[in-house]
Amino acid sequence: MSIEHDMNMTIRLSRREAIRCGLYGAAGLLLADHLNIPAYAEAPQPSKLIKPRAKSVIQLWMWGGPSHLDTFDPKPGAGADFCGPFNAPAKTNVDGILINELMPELAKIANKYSIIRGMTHGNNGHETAAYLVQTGNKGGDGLVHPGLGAIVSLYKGYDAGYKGLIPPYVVMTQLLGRFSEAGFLGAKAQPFATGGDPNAQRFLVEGVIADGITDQRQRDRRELMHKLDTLGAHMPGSAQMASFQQCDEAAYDLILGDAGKVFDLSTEKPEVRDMYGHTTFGQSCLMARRLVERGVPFVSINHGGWDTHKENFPVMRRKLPELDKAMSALLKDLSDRGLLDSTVVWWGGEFGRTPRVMMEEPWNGGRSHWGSVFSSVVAGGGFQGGHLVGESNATGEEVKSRPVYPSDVVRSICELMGIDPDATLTTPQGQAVAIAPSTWSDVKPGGRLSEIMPG
Amino acid sequence: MRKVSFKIVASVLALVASMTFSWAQNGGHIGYVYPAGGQQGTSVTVKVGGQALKGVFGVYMSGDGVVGTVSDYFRPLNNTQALILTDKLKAAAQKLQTTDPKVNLPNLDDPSKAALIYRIAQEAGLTDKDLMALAEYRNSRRDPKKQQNQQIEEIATVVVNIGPDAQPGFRELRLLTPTGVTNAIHFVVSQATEQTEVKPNDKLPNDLGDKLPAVANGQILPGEVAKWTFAAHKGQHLIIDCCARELVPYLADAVPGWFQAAIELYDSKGNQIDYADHYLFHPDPLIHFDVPADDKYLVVVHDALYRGREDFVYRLTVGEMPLVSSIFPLGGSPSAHATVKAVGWNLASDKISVDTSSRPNGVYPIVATSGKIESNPVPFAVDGLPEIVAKEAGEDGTAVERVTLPVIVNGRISQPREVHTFRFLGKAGQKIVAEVYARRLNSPMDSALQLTDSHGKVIAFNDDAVDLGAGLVTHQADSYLTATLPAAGSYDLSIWDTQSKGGVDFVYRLRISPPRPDFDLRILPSALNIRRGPNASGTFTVQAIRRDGYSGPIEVRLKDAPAGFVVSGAPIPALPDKPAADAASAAKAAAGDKATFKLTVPKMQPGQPVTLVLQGKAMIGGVPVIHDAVPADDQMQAFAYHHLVPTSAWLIDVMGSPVAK
Repeated sequence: MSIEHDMNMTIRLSRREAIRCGLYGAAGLLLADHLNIPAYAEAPQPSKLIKPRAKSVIQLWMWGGPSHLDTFDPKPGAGADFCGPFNAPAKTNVDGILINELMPELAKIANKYSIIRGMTHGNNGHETAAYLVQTGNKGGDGLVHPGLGAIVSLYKGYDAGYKGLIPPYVVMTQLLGRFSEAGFLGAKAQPFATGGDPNAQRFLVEGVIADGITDQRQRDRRELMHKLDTLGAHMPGSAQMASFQQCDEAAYDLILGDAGKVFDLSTEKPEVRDMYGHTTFGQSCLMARRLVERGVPFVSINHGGWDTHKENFPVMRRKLPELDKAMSALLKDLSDRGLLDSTVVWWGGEFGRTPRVMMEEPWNGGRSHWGSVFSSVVAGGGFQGGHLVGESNATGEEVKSRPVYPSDVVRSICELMGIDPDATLTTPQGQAVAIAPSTWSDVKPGGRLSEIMPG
Repeated sequence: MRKVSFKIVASVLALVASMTFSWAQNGGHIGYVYPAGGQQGTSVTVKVGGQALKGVFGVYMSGDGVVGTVSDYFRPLNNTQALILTDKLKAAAQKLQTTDPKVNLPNLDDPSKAALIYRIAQEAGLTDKDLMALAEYRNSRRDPKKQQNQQIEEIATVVVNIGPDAQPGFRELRLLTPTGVTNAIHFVVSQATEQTEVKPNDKLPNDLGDKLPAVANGQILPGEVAKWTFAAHKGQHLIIDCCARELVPYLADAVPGWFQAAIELYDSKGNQIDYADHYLFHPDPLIHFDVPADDKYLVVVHDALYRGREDFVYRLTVGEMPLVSSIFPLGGSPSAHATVKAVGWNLASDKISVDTSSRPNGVYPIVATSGKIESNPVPFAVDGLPEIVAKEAGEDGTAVERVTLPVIVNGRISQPREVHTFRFLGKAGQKIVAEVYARRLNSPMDSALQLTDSHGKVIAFNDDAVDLGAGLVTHQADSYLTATLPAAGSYDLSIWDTQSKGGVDFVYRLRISPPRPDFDLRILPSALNIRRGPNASGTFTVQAIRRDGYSGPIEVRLKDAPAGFVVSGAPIPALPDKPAADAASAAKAAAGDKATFKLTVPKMQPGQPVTLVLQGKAMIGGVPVIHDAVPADDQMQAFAYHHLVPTSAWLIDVMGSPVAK
């Protein structure tokens, strides 16, 4: 264990060392910022003030790359070679907008969201494409840029006055694994992954709700830990220990107090839970609503299973109704509670899928990766609903008009959150870099999602 | 029961029908054969795994002396079929209970209840085959090593009779089905005794004995390792060669996109002697083993990432086989008998005589022999241009020599970091082409070429150039450059290995000449299956591979075809005048350089495929140039890459089952 002693006999412990010493439980990890652990990069002052329209972002990340033709950009006119069995897309409540026929609930509320059909970046690798979309950066500059969640966490988190006990960046329920959410911003901007399953009988949340540990047992453990705390007893008046004790109280407030109750879905009305659907994704969407109600700035739901190289249509038949139920419920619920105007909902994955169905072996009716053109959906937080941004060609194979690049989406959401998209971040090496480039392509420029944003 | 939309059902049926129709055009697909070979003079029963094989009735085998016959066909149950059979058993058990209350449907996986299960099955009207299929279904759902892969789940059992004089080497095995002839899969005829593994052999090894050479056939399932022992004697020079990727070159849904075998060699005390997961640039591993002492040695085979699947098939050969690792020169002119120097192991001689008389330009396989045993075949290039042997590099690692164009230089990068330079006099406006043949001729060299003028100014440079015709080469390491000389004077063309490697095997063949516009053709697919009927016809694609800038149109026609076979269609069009802006555009244009043709056939009998030869013809410099098109199949590697893999014959078949005699 390495401990540095400064002149005032304060002791600076790294978070890992504190845990190893068993001083504080896992819940303390949630509140690590209070331990005065230095971030790799500091949040800079924004270059100009932007009035925020949104307070939170809910990212619905469809890991694996959802087929754009089978979701929000159907092409029945291209023939069965492209649309497969989905040749009768649903009319929505917005004239001229069609979506997959297995999403009737979302079809009824198309006025609440807008579909970006001109998304493009041209990359077909999961990890690289995920990086491009989540960070809005092209890569190749020797830096690991942070994802939008980490950027929001930095600008809207503890350094910006966020006082919630729940971390400002929450991931439901697992981290992506092949992607560094925080990038060069470091541990301070890392999300808190809940773990567990919100659709389970009891939603076990990492460090907050443990299996088989009742609240009383948590209290008993706390009492035992305090009795064993000889270090604190030997350092009365230490500012650092006082800070640790604050963390202790905050952590247990989260575990045992009202703040932690946000994870207790049994307090939600059964009809509301039914509305979202009793699936992990559905209940995650419900959790996301509860988290933004409590002011959490960024919630990401990682929902995998979209990498349909094989069995594309059977998988779509299972996943689309689930998506339809949960996402429509989320939008309606946010709207009914007056939260949609202040919450950006951002749906999409790292790319789309091969428009022409791959009938040959071994795919037997699958679709491969397609970064040339794909779809994303945005709603709320200042985005106008009921519009299309960009267009793919008749077969969904390339952008026909108005390309939208990952940087366009990231910058637009930043702006709605009141984060200056032209602000710079400082890397650990002291380099000032843009959040995301303002221009992705000189040949086919994209740009701010002005079509669906105010002013 | 949930109401299902008729529209959706109809759509699904339409999709299934279209899928069936697509498969009907393709004649089914096979993914592996196991075991993947057999010894001359033996009969071996093999399993061929594939898809859409129902009704399989025959075997096509390339070459002479090897004949296959289908003895069985198995298709696993799907979920619905398994449910139906299980329900039948339950109903039968309930019925039997009325007369015998002790009867209850037992656990179907309990071997002690076999008699009762059989009794219930009889009552239910199930056959032995039904029971076996149900058992296989249940096992596959329970066994974590059994993955469901539709493309290889159907099994055709084939008995292969290999004549005593059948030419050793690789054959192409295809199945004949009611929807036509399938793609080809490799089957190997060997001269050594063969064994097929008996699982489990991950703890207790199978034994090859001491009569070498011997071949072990195996199949690696997920996470598996296979162990083989063999007895060897001090002084033996053994080759331990694991053939895996050579059998199934590409897997579309795996990364790496083939079975990447690894082999480990141990002595009887468990000391690891050697390990290999490749050989030179070949993905298949090979170990040279100079046996230090009499002992029983152990070879362990597994995938480098411990993956596995039914199509992860290997052939492990152990013995003092002749192995040629390289030859020099890599080619020669067609008008003389050539003698090449061979480097390798267990070679009776370090020279191979090659008869190249009357051979047109091309690449031909040659072998060395040790007694009656043939070595691995290696490519030998034939070209009519003047040839020289490059000078050896000096102590400083460089060699500079004057050459007169056109010329083919045969050289060797003997030491790492050598640079060979060929100096020639050129004229202003003179067009030259420099092309390396190394990787494409089995050399591990990774070449780079650079053309400079007399002041050292770089005129042209190239590292890797793609050749669509080299379908089995995944690292297209050979260099190719063209240049128009800006002025009269002396020019230097330098060649080196970009990986700074060198050695006896790092041989190359370098052509420096004016452009020789030419072309190659690939026919896709290699088996064309046509629906019977009046004016029966099918469509196929011909991919052009242009050489040295030939950009004109290319006609196609049949060569010596039987009556009634007619090809129609417009020629492969000329390339646009405007050259591609960049390498990516050029690659895209090259891949799109093809045309579709129609083949009309006379009345044919199903199951009796006809071999046709298609020729391409172009007028180049006012002279007709004609080449036979090479049949090929477009195979995908690792979800992304496409390769045109050549086959030996273009087969035409009509759909249907053969008429019973």
